[in-house]
Amino acid sequence: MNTVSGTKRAPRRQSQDGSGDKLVVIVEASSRGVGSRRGPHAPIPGALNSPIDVEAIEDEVQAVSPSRVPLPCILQRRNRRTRREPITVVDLEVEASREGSKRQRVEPVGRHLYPDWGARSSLQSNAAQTSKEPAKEVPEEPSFTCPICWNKMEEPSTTTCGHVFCDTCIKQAIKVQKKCPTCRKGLKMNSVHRIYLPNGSS
Amino acid sequence: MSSSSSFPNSRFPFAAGAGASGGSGSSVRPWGSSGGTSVSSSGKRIQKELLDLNASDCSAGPKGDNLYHWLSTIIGPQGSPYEGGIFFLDIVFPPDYPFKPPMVTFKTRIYHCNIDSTGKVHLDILKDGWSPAFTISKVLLAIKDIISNPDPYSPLMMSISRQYLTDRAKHDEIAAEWTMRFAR
Repeated sequence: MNTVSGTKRAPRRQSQDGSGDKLVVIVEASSRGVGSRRGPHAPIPGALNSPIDVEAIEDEVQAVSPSRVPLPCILQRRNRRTRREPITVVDLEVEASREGSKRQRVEPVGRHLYPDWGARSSLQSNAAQTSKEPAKEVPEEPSFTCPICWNKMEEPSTTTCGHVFCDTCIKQAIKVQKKCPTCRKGLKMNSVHRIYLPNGSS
Repeated sequence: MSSSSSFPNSRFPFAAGAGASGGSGSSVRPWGSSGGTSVSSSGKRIQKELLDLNASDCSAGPKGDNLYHWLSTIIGPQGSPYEGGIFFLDIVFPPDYPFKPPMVTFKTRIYHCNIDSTGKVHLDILKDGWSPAFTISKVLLAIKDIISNPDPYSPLMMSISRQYLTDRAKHDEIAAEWTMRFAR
């Protein structure tokens, strides 16, 4: 019987269904060195002498992912503990010093529109507002500038093309050029008429 | 020698008293003097323009203490044969400004088909195209634009416009040479 690296090759035998040969490998312990007490091919006690069916082993091997394997109860408990959200402890003094160094954060628009947002009570917020901010002034009415003299419009007048100037400015411009200074449309003296704008001196 | 004739060689046209004598012959009242009456409507408008002047690569200001006589500098536009040159301009505002356009003349020589040997500029907005709504800032930008993009079809210098149309490379070479000679 020929042995190659500690294995014996058994004669081929027909499979049960007779479809093909099966390779049966008989595993012996690997040979010892030449100087050992036992012979080079002496079997080690307790070694596996029964033949191994390779095809059968291949069929029975399954790949199992670690998640499928059930963990012991202790490990599962530990996992439950770690899954909980960590509790953050904030040191107010440190935070205050950080806030000072950071850039000023832009507040959302809603804060300005609704100052009561985020306040504990409307009474508290109203009291804080009255103490901090003075009463807002009424916004000024818009002032209109004449594109010819660059001053505040005096006796604002409009042309038929819809452009507005001081009365004296547009009349002088028509006298010189007979055109609108803005769009250059031809104008006559009767193409201009007075308009009454808010905050415009009449 | 008046300051207006000598200033193209000067590197500091807005130095104190640079053109104090320039406005002495003018009939218009200087803006710094105490004439008793308030500044006229044209003077007010010019003062406002002076405060509002923000044209890029251009600077302008009164020559001495005469508000109606300004001095301006335009830096030659990049990518043109006038690149790197500093061109001085004289701006004279008429008494009825802004209803009449300012008179703008180049004091630095320039090889350009729309600017003649006396420095007169052929620009529509300084003639029939003027509008009282225009400002000196817009005028300077228009001049800078015409330096970059000459109009050879309405020239003041026929020979230069002809050369511009027929032999552009030679035109640019001479323009760059003039810039090196007169505008640096």
